[in-house]
Amino acid sequence: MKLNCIIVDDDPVFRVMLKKMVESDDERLQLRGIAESGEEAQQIFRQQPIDLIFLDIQMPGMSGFEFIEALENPDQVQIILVTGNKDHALDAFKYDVVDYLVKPITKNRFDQSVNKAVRNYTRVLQGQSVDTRIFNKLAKFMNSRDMQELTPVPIRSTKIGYAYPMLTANYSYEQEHKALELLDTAEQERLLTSEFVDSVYLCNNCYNSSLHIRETCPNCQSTHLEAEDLVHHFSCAYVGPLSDFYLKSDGEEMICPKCEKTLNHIGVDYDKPSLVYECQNCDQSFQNPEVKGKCHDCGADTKVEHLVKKDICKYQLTKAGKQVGSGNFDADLNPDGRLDDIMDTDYLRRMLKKAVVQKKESRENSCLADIQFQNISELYEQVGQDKTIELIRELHQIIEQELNATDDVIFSNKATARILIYNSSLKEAKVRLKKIVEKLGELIRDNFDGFETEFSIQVQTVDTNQSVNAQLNALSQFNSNY
Amino acid sequence: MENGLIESVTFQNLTFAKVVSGTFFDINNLRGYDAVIIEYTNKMAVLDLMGSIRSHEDQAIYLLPVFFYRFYRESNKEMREFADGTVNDLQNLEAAANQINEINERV
Repeated sequence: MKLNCIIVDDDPVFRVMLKKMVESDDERLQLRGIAESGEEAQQIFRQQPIDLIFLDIQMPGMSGFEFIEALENPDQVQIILVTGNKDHALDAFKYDVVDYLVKPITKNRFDQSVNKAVRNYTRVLQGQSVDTRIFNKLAKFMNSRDMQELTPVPIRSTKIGYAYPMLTANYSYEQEHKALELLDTAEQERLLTSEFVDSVYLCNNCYNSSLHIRETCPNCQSTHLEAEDLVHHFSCAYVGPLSDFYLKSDGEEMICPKCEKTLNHIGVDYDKPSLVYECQNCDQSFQNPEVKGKCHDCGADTKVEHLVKKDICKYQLTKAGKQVGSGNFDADLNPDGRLDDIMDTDYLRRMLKKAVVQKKESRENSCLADIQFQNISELYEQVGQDKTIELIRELHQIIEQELNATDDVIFSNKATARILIYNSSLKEAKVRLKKIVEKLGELIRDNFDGFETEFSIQVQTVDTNQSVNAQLNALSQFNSNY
Repeated sequence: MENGLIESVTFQNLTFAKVVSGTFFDINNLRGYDAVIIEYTNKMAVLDLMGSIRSHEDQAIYLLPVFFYRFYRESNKEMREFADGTVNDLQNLEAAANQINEINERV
């Protein structure tokens, strides 16, 4: 998806600078015109649909604000105001603009503004997520062609090794894996049914299928390994690498270093039950190397058990999917919202308000706490996005199990569980939180190769004299270790 | 100038936009045509153009029937998924016209 945009500015230097920035973001922006005045911009507007304007405020003739006032449908277009004068800031936001940039503009600040504009365009203005719109397009295309199946095509140059051409065309290379997420979500919403075709392993950091799989040393992670056969001599039970055995001059017979007998025939005198590896970097010998997949794209080197396995399927539209295809109704997909129910900060804010009221009425004490998983981002990086979401759900579940039915827990971010414990003193709350942390640590340790999580706990009593926001802010800033 | 790179071909009551893959033109200018005929130059250029058409936000563009012209080699599956067929003779577009009418009935 690209937003059609125009630049409106009377300053020629700035027009050139902004043009370069827009053109450097050609994945998301399509420059449709450059105007030197509001009047000229109005002409461009009449000729083609425009989604985003970079609009100067102070221009000779029509000002930026006057231009906005003259727009027929101002809520149909995203406006980023640009100005050399900070004094317009308050006025700017009266016009419900996306952002307000003060010259000179950094690339970083420009990117932030465009991010906001794209988000607004897709979620607020169109009322549909990107995935919803892409699915609607796909269904309409399939319906218009009477296409019975959406089949994956193996293509080496694609990110995941397969493409669904009509679908994949909607994503940039970096985002191609999102096509699979969309198909999964559409299937969960019963808009599609699927039939297995193949499975692929993807990098858990960037979802690229171009992986270099090899054995690594479990001690130093080096890939510089030498492997040789492990030999088991039946008669004396000696087991050792092939190089332990002396070779006779003809090179065909071996002599056991333990009993000095000659080993003539494999299967009769000896066998080779396994391989033994020697790391050429740290000299460690071992039989079970770690098998890792190195991503050719992002360079992440991941244990194969932590790679993301995805099924590649062919899909058919269900009856509901066909209804979307014929334009009778729009799908509503939101694959990014998989943690929305857990990361619902508004919910906790409402509950905290109730707790404040309850305390005023009953004088029963309640406590508000944060459990921070301080180093968990390291684990999230190792396991990838899908398993991260599963893990957060499990952590949430463990906390819920340890709380009373009336208590509440949400995740304020992926590394912080925010808990409201009703009818509890600070001391009692601390005891329960300690127990919760033990359980969480155990779960993570048992499931992720002994990963030791570092926790910190912040806890405070609910205060009837402070606003809800002030209490939540205080909790975030308070940083005493338990 | 941009429209100059799109040649209009009429057949029966349909207007085809004939373009050469690899040449730059504004995809938005395909709006209003009944179908697109892409003259094949090379695979990458065709796939790029097809990707731009099929990923467009406007239904009037992404649902456009597309046919390859002067395409003599066997198409790969990716190209077949993107396009609706091939045409060999610009004077006789009857098969393509039938296909366009079928598509339009379903849209």
